[in-house]
Amino acid sequence: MKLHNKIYRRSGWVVLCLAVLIGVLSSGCRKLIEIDNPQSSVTTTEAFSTNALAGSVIAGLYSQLMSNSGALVFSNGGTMLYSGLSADEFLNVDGTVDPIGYQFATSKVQSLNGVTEGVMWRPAYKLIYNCNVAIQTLSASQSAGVSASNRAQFIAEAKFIRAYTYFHLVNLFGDVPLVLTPDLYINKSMARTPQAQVYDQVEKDLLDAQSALPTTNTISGNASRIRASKWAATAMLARLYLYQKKWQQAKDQSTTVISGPFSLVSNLANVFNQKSTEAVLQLRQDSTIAPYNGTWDGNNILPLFSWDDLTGGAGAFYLTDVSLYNSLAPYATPKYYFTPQMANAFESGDARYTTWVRGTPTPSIAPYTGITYYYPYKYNISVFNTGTSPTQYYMALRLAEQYLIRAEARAQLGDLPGAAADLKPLRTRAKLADVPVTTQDNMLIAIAHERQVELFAEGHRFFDLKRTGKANSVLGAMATKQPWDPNQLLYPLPPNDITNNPALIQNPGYTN
Amino acid sequence: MYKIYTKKRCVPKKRASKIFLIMRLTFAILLLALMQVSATSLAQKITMSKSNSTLKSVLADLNKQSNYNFLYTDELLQHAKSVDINVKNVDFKDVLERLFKEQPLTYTIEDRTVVIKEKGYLQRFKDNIAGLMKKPSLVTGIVTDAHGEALNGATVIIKRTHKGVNTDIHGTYVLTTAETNDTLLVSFIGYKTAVIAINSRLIINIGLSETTNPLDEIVVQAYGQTTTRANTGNISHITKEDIEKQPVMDPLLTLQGRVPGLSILRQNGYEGAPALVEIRGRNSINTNFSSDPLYIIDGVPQSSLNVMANPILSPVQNIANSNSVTSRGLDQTGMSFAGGQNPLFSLNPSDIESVDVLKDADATAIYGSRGANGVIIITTKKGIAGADQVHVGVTQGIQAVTRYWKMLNTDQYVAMRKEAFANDKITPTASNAADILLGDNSRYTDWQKYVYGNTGTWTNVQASLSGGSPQTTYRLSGGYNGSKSITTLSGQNLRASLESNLSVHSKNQKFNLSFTTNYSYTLLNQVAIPGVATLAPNAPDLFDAAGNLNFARYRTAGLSYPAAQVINPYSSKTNYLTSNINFNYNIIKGLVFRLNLGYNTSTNNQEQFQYLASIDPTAANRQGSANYGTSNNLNWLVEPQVEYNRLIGKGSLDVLFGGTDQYNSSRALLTNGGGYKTDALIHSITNATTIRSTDAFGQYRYIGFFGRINYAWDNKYIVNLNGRRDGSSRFGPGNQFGNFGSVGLAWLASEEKWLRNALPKAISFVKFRGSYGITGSDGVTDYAYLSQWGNSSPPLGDYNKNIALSAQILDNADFHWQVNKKLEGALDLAFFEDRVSVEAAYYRNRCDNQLIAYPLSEITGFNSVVANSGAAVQNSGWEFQANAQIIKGKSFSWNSNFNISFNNNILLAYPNIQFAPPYYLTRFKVGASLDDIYVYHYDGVDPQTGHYKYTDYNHDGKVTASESVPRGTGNDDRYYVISTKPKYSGGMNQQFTYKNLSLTAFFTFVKQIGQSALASNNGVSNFNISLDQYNNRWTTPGQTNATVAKLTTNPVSLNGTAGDNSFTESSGSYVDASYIRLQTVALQYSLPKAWAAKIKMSNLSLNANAQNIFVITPYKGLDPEVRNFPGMPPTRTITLGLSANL
Repeated sequence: MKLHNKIYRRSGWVVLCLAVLIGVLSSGCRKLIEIDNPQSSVTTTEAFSTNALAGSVIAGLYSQLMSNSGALVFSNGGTMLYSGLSADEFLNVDGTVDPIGYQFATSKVQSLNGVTEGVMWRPAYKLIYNCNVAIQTLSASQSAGVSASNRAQFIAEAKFIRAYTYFHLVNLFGDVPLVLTPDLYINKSMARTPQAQVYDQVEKDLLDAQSALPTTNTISGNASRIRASKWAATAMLARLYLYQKKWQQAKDQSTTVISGPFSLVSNLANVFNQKSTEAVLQLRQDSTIAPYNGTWDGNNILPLFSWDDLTGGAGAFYLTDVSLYNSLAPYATPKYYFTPQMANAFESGDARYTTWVRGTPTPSIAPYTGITYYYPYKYNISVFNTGTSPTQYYMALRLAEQYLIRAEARAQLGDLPGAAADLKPLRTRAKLADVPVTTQDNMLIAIAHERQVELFAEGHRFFDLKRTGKANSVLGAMATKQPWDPNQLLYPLPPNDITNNPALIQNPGYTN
Repeated sequence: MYKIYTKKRCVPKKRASKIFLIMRLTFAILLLALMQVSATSLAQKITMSKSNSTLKSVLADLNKQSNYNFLYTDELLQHAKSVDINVKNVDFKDVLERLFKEQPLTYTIEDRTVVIKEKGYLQRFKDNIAGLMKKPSLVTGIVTDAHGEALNGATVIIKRTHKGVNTDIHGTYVLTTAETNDTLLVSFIGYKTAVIAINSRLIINIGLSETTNPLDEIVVQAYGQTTTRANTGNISHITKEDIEKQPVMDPLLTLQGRVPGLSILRQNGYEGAPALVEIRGRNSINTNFSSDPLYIIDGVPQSSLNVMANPILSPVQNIANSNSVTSRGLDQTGMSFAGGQNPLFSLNPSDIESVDVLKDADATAIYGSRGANGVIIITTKKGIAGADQVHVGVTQGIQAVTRYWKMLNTDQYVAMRKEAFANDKITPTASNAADILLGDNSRYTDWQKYVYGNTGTWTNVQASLSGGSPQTTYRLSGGYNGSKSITTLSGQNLRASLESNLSVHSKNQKFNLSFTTNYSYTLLNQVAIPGVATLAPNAPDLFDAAGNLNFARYRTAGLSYPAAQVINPYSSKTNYLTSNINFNYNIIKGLVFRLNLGYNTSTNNQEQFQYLASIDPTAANRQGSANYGTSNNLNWLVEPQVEYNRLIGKGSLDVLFGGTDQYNSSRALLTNGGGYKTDALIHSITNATTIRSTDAFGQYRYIGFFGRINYAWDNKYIVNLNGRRDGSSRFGPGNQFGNFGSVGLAWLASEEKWLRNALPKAISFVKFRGSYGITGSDGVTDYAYLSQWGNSSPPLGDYNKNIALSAQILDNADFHWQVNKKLEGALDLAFFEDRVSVEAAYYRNRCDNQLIAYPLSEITGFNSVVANSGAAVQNSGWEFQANAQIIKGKSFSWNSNFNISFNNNILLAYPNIQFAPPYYLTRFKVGASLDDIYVYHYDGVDPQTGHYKYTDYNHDGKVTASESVPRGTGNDDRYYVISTKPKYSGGMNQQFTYKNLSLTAFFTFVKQIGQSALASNNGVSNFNISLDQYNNRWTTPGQTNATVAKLTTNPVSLNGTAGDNSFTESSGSYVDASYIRLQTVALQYSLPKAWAAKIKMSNLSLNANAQNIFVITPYKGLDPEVRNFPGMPPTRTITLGLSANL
């Protein structure tokens, strides 16, 4: 009896202790392992819960387009530079010493080159991921923290940026996977989508953006057109329809832009300045991060100082002595310079040549040949200062292109006088005579030429040659690109990506 | 005239009743003097007759009849029994005696007052026992240790029946089933088992003496203690003696070679540098997954989160930090040249009582996921009851490099360079041969001696005070340890520490509390040690006459200045506090409630300056810069536990239940100031023109519920079951919890009579044990399951003054616990009455569901996502340990121990390895070890051309490497396998004692392959080579005995095939780097007690210790362990010390 009592009492204690212990620990044991969310970041739900945070995500999209981590990407000068090398715009000064530049300039791009993946593919898809999350989350959530007008505008901006990115991707790579959701399980094994289908999505996104975006961007202010507006979406649509050969739509959309609140800047030197009246969309750099107060175009191409700035015959003096020249050349030579085709494309007296092009001569004594390295001078800041306010923004869309789009659309539709009329304001500004109205072919040639000299070094030439079917004949004739390989018109997919997602098929002519 | 005093006592009623309840239930014996009642002049006669009255009323009556007052409280009388009394003219004294006999109360008479009190423990016991005493089978007594302190939980077993009882908190036992001629076996962990014949005695008090049998020495296990004899798991025990003898600052390094299966590789020569610690090999293919075991210091885990991903650092430091799988520890900014700071560096080795290394599933399972890589439990010293002891120890020593390598002198160097030019058919000119044409060829500097030739110092001062009473023990200790490095230019490293421990026991021994606090301050000074040991012997002085960096002279010699970093100061200061409280409450006999509360915090501050003076004055755009780093680490821990222990049947049952709640946070802040135009202003961030800061913060929360059931039947069969449920904050909702467990079995075969009789007499102990268990791992980045929008990856510029956010990671809420399956089987043998013991263990650990960064196509927006992979890694191997008391004489003894371990690492499976990230794909092969590297096969020096030759494995006419295909496939010719991990390694300790003199020698040995030093660069400008290399070079066509390629100024690849510069990537550069090192020698002489007493000391001893005495190795170079010449070689430390106990 006593023993039983003893055991009973002991087990009572054990049960009690265990009960307390388990009670203490398991009461909300899930809660016990909850930790604060990270301090340096917010979750997706939080990121789209207020106007300010969602605005920061959208600001992040633009920042990725322009500054990123201080690196060159497809949208801040990468397409301009590398597609310019692939086309007939640039050569690289360093030749084989700069193997990557040389691959592009000679159209011998290898699968692993660091540029097509690091500058184009990866940042583009990262941006698309961010856009997809923004579009999906903002569309699905009804958080009161984001006002209806902001919500609509943010979604539209994300769609515009997604469309802008896909437009570049298909023109660089051909068919690309059309990733439209952030879902890992869908995306990780997605195959390439036909270019036409991607264009359809681009059109859809742009139409959505066009209908939802305001005509004046209340967030950035109208004077500095640094965020997507209805006009930007319209201008992109015009470009898309031109590429799709939908001439009527191209004409209509460009007409809308041309009749909008834009005007050509009469002084060519000011076209790329911030708050340019010609700008439909500019991207603003952050002066604390590369390219600081400059642009990547300025950074990549401009020499440290311009030969033209040597005064009092100093330039000519330096050319007389090779060793004197050698001391100056590293600072005065651009890293990339115009091909002869590009340098010779300008009509004599073209103000664009005198304002937007500069050159660094070389001595006519061996080992130099007396050639001049011409280079674009649309962006004029070559030495960057951190923290200094930029005077020029990166031009993504401008009015001049819209005139050229409408001219081409009109010409294709048979309206040759209309086409000529659209070239007139550009040629007048360039102090050139009007183009005579003769045949459609002549008009199209004139427009292509006008595009070459107006839009040079803005990332258009390579795409124009491809969409007009001229690429093989024009590029294939260049001595620097021999032997010519038509497969070079599309860039290679990153081999790592093909390894990690076997559904991706490499473009022809490239190894995995 | 009388008065009844009543007073309120402060014992609450409930507790009082509880005390009585327990008293009635307890059979306790204290056979000490009984309380005496002073019986003077008690002659008054009393008459009364009462039945069923209260004691109070009886006392009142007595008070009336006598002239005695009574002093009591109402509470005291509350439990008095009712009284029946019928006396006539009986003495007052007799009445009192009769009255209180049956009461739970007693009394004393002081003057004319009767003070009534609770019946003393003794008194009541005496009453209780009176009835029991009559039973012939009763045996009772107290079990104490040698100092007379009661042992709670000692086992008293009747040998005949194998049944028995445990002692209670007072050490008492009562056996009711013993017969008068039985024998008792009395045992307690850490003590010799006493064998005692009852011999018809009723009361047997037993004093146990501490064991001298190594099998019975205490080893620390998870949440408790055990012995080698009773243990079912694999635990290695290192004592303070082993640790104290080694003059090293970092306690982690004292474990090198001591424990089979434990590998400790310090990442570089800097004091306090993180070490790559692996227990039984590398488990994870994920290189970001630290292999660090769980460190527990007095019950408090020491861990830190690697929080800062991309610190803004100078290139020098980034190199040091790249690809490290070690935790950065207390330096989370990664600023340190050492790549972090080992947290154990903050612990004073002199405060360590013991270190226990837990390896297999049985030993580690109860720690759950935290123990997946093994557990290292560090126990600090505690006070011992007894006279106060003051201990003072002072040690002073020197450090120096053990040897130098023979390099070319200036004449040989110039000849060597000229030969290289001749071989290359190049005419030396001022621009390509400045070192020999513009340099001063009469100069000669032995650059090795220049940087490593200094003598470092070592100082260690320790003082402690300890002692206490049985109720309270304490220990206070302070230590200072400083060392000045051998490198001419480096500063001092020091640690000052203070440790205090207080243990309090309640008087009834039911409650005790132990409080330990350890504070330390460490200061590390580092400079980037320049690789000048290989400078040309005629290179100019590093400093000019004015003491400035000699940029000008190097410039005129056409050389780049090699040591600019040496004047740039760096310091790291750490404050470290770890504190722990352990409550113990014995609820009833055998049942203990414990609460362990731990807290650990550290703050590390670093400063580094890039002086303008360290930048060539002619350089463009000179700017000084300053880096400041702050890291904070915090751990806290709450662990309630209940343990129940009793003998059931022939066995002893121990049940433990508990929970762990652990929190860990780490914070890092790194600030970089730039644009300083003068060194005078560089020490303040205020004067910087550009300031950049990055910070990082991480949190980790972990909870677990665990249970352990241990049953040892008849000391023959032991089963140990562990189970636990773990929750970790590193997993997403739904995946946070995992269930894990283990089973351990042991069979003490030598306890079986039939085997006992069959075995030769020399074999005294045979034990088989085995365990199998599953533990989880959560070694992934914190928050990897959570979507994160931020501004750090990539760092985005603002857009039009709006903060820009982007998605930081691809979150995946689906990954879950990584699983480690551990199997172990072992045989323990002992010979010659346990004087020699041998343990052989086999283990096999498999790790699957590996958590890795799963590679993705970038179309997903990211190139990887954290996920579980099917990759499975297996580590298996053998470990042997032997201990022997070879001679155990009165004045001379010789103890020896030895250990050796073999580990075999294999990548068992990697489904779809072809889609693995290139890093894994190109380096790992299923069926091969993760530690294997692949190199060209070396075919010697071509006798005709004098170039190195390598095997063209794929016969494509070229020897080439490719980073995009697996090694040795496609166009990659690196097929030859080199294992970077030792084949086996171990240690051996010999200890001799003769009277007061003791000598210890500790050897470590490793069998391995390593890269030879100075494998390349034969003839390159300003780069000296070894004489050995020079003498074995190829010189003439047809020469067949050359082992070194012909000298050349530009060792490059030729015609797209691997050239002389690829030698380091070939098997030719890998040589036998095995060694035996006499790691420690310690000589100690204690003054005879009588002499010491004359100078009022209880003990005075002198000691001489030395570390890294010599190395036996076939390896050519400074040291087979630190092979990256001219990296800083390990030094030899010799110390002399004095240790006194007052």
